Amino acid sequence: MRIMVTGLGMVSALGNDIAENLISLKDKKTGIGAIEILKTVHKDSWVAGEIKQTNADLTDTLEIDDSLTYPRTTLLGIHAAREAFKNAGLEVTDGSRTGIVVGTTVGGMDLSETFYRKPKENPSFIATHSCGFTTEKIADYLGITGTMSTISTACSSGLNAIAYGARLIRHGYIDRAIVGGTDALSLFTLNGFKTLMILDDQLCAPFDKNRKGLNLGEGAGFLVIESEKSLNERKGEAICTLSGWGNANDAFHQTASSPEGNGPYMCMHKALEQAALIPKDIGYINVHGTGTENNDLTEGIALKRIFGEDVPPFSSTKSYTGHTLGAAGGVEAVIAVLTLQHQVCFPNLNFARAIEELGLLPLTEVQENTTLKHVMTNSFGFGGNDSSLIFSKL
Amino acid sequence: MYINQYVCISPDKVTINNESSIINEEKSDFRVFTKQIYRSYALQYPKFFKMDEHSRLGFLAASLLLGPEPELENENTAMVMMNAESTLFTDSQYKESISGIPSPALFVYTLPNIVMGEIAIKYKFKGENIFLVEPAFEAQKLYDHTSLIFDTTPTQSCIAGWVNVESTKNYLAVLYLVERIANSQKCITFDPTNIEKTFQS
Amino acid sequence: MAELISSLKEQIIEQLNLEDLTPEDIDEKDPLFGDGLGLDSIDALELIVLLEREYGIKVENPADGKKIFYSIETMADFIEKNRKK
Repeated sequence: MRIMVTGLGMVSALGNDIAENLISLKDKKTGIGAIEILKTVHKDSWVAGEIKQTNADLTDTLEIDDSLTYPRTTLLGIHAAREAFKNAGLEVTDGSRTGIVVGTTVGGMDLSETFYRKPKENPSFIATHSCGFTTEKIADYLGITGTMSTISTACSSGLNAIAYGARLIRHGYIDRAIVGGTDALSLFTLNGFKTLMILDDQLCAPFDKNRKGLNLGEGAGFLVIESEKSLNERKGEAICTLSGWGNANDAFHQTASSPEGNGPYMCMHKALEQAALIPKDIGYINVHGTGTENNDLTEGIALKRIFGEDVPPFSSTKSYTGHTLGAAGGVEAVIAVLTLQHQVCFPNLNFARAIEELGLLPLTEVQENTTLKHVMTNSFGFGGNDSSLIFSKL
Repeated sequence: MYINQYVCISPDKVTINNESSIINEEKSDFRVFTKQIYRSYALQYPKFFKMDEHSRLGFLAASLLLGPEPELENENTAMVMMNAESTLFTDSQYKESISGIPSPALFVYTLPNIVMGEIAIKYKFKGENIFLVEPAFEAQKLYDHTSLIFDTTPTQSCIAGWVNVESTKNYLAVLYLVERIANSQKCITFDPTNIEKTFQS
Repeated sequence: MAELISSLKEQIIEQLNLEDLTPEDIDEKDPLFGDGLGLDSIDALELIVLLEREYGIKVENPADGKKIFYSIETMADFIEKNRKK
């Protein structure tokens, strides 16, 4: 059974919807810059891909009327999921056959970290803290009553949510699903990554010889995926297919990949196998490419293990959006689909020199009028949780 | 599929295949009781003591479930775990540490899938792994999530279950070794009814 | 110096949760990483936290850790030269 991709929605530091994000991507305009909304003592020390809207702005835009104050992760998630739904031309007539799978790590932390010492100011933070709160609220907002799942597997959460939704559809549990990831910036994660000493205080340079680390980001990226049968029944239109996915555990270290890139290698290999493709079928890869010393080297090694000397054109769009953590898989899957839909590849910003051990050169300019048939996107998470997806032209 | 083995760790006791193994007679808190379990089984894995409560609990349960050298195909051994709290207990501890100097090790443990990372590192399991956050345990959901993996991948064995820490006095791990082939005398069919029967809360 | 080395051993055991070790088990000249105590990169970051909290020394570049944390002895040398507390 083919899994059809029928809708996209995205909010990131690049823009508030698909159209705005596309413009920034084509104009090589990064969304990474000064931290202005998140109230942190570190705001002059670090840069991030921050969305320049307050929670109040987002709440107003979504016309949310609830006694609970929604956390930022939830607001971003609803924002992007709503767009994907509309984009798919979907009106839910049978909510029970429509499911939702959300990947997230931050949950309601932006509110909890503010109010846990002063609960009287916002007692509802307890009710809104859980990762699952976002899933429930997106479901409520869109009238979804089918299977609901929340996945929290670090930076691969978003991709795993998409693959999981596809499995549920293929297995007949549901006919369609809204799937993706969402995560907001928080002091919790900013301090955490700072203490791991893998942040770059300047714009990150993925796959560059002199890369110093990652920039954090926030955002949400969602897709609507459907069974071909159900799409035909409602006479809808597809953008492309989700043709393969793979997940594996690197089983080496919690925050670093094995020197041979085993986990990345295995998940890409599984995705290719499932899609019944060979490596040279892949026309472009949106790599995980965080800009850390370990990731880019080991991902590059894995790429060469799969593709040999013919590594396809690739880029890390984290140079545009920052690393959006649990949202990354969703955000980058949306960008991968846009690449296929519009036949345009977006570059890897801030690249100057190749990593010596690899000699790999990512794209540094926008490439238009491409003739891509299959694109791949990778997300690798702490805990060795590595995932890869492939999208294919109809 | 079959449940070839299952383990339950709660504040009261450890049971293996529903038979009592260790009782928490002193009603000790989490760290004391889990250390007692660790020593009883002579686990010899110093990294255990660096783990947070969530990973200690899941790692212990997996170690008791599998023994020191399980005969499993590493690339085809999957993990499906769920809970309701995510890592809220550890999140609070990490948050407290931010007021001093944040602890990098503690930050890493504020992701619920890290427990699967610890198990994977020890046993070299390279198969699929997924961690879901659910409102409460439901046997049907565990069955659905796990059987999806078996139905759609070459997975031969799966460590599936629930690992949840609310506090040092309120926690529960129930892990099943689910496999395509029945290979123990005590094995039972993996289905929602048997999961319901064997899950102790 | 001997007193510093002795305190350091205790602090490291506590900071890194080396449960089954006593200060007597650690020789100050032995490598801490690799085969030594089997510490890893996250332990190195925790040692950076220890240096700041106990001795007021900020290590900005984690790559410097390799030399500083080679052994308890090299750590003690570094602390003596750079401590602010």
